Amino acid sequence: MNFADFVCQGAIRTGIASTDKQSAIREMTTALQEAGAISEDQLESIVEAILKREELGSTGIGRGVAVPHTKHPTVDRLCGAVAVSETGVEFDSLDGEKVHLLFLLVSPPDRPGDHLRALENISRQLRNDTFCRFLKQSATPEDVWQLLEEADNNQFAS
Amino acid sequence: MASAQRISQPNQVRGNMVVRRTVTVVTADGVHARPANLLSRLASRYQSHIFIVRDHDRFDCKSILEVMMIAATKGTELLVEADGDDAEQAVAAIAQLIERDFPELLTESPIGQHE
Repeated sequence: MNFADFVCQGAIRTGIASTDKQSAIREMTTALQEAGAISEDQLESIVEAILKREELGSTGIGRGVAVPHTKHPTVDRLCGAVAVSETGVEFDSLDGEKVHLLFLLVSPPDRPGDHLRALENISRQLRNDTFCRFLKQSATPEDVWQLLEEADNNQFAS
Repeated sequence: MASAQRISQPNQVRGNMVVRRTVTVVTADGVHARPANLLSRLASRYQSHIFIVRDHDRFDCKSILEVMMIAATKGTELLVEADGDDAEQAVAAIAQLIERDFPELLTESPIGQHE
């Protein structure tokens, strides 16, 4: 699976204002709603589900990256938002570090394989230091999208 | 025992033995982020190098990023491999966690639906 298969181009945000987990998740879920990937009346329900998932263990997986996610019955396909934070977000990460790159995923309950393949893609690409560094330095959503496309074309293959 | 010693021959200089065991993923949602975290945390308690092999790809079991890269769905066959003084115990523990469907996931989770 490639980034272009699940990242909503209209739900990419750079220089996000949020510095705590709850507002970052809300900001990103709102981006998904503004991009038309989720409906407005489901926004609160999805934010709440993602926060409940965080209570089971932080999705801040280290290297300044977090992958907050949930299943939700109101989406019919996996959709993802991407956020870049210059200042960093407090995320209770596994390594204790602030998070600068966030990939938020909402997936249909009956498609666990798609969720796994999105996680696989994110973790494989982020192992590449150059990709990780460029993504964190991205100033605009267009820059992020271009890097994701380059990653999809294996330009960061390690 | 004799056959195990033959397998370990290349490492006998160091006195170590490579231990391998095949397991099948039984978790309905596959090895997603929380199982990956449990696996990397458990593996980090052992001195041995621990790998999970899927087809021809080898992943460091102590790295959550690498374990998430396995993308193992339910029914996937994995080879758990360890090399070191505590290899035997490490493989037993890791294999058991996978085969027993990550029991910690249940005790951690007050809300089964939100995964």
